[in-house]
Amino acid sequence: MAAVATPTVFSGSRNEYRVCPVTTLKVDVAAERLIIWNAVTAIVALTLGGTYALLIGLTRWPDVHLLSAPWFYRLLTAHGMNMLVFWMVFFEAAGLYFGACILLNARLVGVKLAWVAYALMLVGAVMVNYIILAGEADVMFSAYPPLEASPLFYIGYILFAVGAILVCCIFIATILVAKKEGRYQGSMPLAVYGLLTAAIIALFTLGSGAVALIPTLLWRLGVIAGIDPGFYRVTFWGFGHSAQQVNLSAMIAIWYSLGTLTVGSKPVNEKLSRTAFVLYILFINLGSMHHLLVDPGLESVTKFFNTSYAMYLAVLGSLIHAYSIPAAIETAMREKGYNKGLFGWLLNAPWKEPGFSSLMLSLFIFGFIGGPTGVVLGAGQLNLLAHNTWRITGHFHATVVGGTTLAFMGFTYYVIPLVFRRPLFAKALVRWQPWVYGAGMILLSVSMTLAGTFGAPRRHWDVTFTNAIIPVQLPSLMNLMLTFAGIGTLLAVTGGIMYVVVCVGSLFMPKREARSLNPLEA
Amino acid sequence: MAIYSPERGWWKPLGREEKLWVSVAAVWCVFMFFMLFGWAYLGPQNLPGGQQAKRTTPAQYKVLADAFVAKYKIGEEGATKVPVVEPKAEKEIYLTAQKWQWTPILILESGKMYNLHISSLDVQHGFSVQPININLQILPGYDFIVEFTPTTKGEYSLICNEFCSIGHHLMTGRITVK
Amino acid sequence: MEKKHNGWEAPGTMVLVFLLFFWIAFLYFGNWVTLSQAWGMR
Repeated sequence: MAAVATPTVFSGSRNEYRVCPVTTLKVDVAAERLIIWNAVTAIVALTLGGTYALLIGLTRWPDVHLLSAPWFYRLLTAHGMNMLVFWMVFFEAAGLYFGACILLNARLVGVKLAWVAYALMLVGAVMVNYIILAGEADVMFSAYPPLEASPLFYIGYILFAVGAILVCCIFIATILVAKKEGRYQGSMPLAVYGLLTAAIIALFTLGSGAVALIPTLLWRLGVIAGIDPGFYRVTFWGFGHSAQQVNLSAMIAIWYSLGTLTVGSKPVNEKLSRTAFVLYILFINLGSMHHLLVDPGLESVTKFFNTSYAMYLAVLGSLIHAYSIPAAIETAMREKGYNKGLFGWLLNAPWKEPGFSSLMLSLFIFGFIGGPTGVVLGAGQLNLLAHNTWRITGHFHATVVGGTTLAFMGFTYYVIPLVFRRPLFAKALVRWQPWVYGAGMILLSVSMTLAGTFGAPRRHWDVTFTNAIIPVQLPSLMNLMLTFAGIGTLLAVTGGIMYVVVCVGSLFMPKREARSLNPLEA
Repeated sequence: MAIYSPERGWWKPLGREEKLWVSVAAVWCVFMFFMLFGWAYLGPQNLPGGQQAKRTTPAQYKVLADAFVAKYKIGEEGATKVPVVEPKAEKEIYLTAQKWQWTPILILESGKMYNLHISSLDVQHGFSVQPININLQILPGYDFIVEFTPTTKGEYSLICNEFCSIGHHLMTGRITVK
Repeated sequence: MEKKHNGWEAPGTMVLVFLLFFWIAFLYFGNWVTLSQAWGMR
């Protein structure tokens, strides 16, 4: 058994580090521990959320209609919280520690505080999960007043957000200190720049969430009389949609990283990529207006300026990355000699490597389904046709589930051998997991979108409206789409199970140093 | 490399392909932006303006809505006797969202312009007309005034697409255009 | 030294992003067309 490297200490500090034999990067031992704990917690949240996904997916499949109405709405709330909030943010916390410490060869600043942050996030997540299952928070992840949840729900939500804010602050402090202590030369790597973008946006996002949730908590505690539902919507979506832009920035940072890890690509123009990230920081928070386009009382000009992220400048940022990332891969492959025709570089790329397949699938799903549907749905007048239908659900399953989650999964396959220092369990599953999951997500998100065009409402237990006083019948083609969505759910959940099995199984593999950057050979 | 620091002097001009793509993308972005406004003038369908909403309270709105129903009611339908209302010459018509029913059932005339008032007496609801898929967010405390002229005769269903607690999937209604 | 293909650095990517562009334009205009079936809500 290969010996695990003995730690040394960063100059001028007491932080211990080890040197990665594959990348020669210095790995702060405390940061490594935090990465592991946050990543594992993220995967626990994903497992819970995924279990609920299966149950609610089988409920919206009309022929199955598995859960009862109360449990459907309950688990849908739990699904939203575990996926959109806990899985995403715990994983991103791990990513932030990875970027600030390992990629910068730097020491983690505020180790104790980082553990406080983790504890807050964990307590918050446990509280929220408990109170939902106890039946006292059937309010969806958006928790719109005047819907009422137990105060414990909002307290858990807020505690989690406070922990996440702390993580962002620690991340930024670590980068500043790393620069000051000269741990890296020149500009920070692009991946870290992308994570910094995510952290900056996150601070605004979480602050907005506090402005929405704290008064709501005070209302539920009886301290204030009520909270204006319109005010809540504006401030909540300042958290809710902006959080998706945090996920977007983190995903793009990971896309660039996976390109480097799999084919050794480097950005074709650093200035271009960094400017695109700056466009996000400046404008992306305006996207919250997407949720308010058919709300009463907001001026059309306000709606149009905001919904377009200021003349679509933030969309321009995305379009820039959409070019930069494949271009980087293409130039790297051409440099290696894969120069044949227009697409020789693509056909000869390492598709067998899970990092590459998840990168390309994630790029495709986000780029061709998630992003464009977002642009369409965010156009004011078009939103009228889509608001609160399953088109919305289809859009965000393509972006955050087919795009970001798939990229995170691919990245995990590098974190496990390099940071956890365990070889991957069940490598056969690893190779196929991105494909199974990606195929499921494509089927699911497209079916959801099409069902929504036929009027299928979101967050709805029974689209046959059985027992409604006034009968309603939606087009029968919608039922076909709902069936496809059910099949897509099964496929995607299978892909999710494969991922979790690999991750959990790997935790029990014998600890040893990675031998290669390629996780299938590590 | 994206995970390693860039070379010094990375602030360099864009290559030809980058310039081409950024220009195309930028022009498209500006076009989409102006489309939002352009469509407001050219298109058959628009978002209600900011002025088309008033602050109210559930109690105040209920008074107006009940008066409207009382004045123009022509019948009832269903086990819970949902009122059926035909406004005739009236332009200001009132729809109420309440757990878990859209009230009243409306019978409207095609080609006639209406100010449809919509509000909720309890929680948020999602006004959704099928099969044409017009969707609006309905808030308690806000009277959403939608100016519209139904152009096509037929029966339109109302469903609710904002989660409004346990009976959400039972919430339906109807608008008939004669 | 980047190997160029007829003077283009990343021609495959150019094809892909223009494909993306036309796809977005198609979805966008396709959806605007469906607007006309809705009520006269001006």
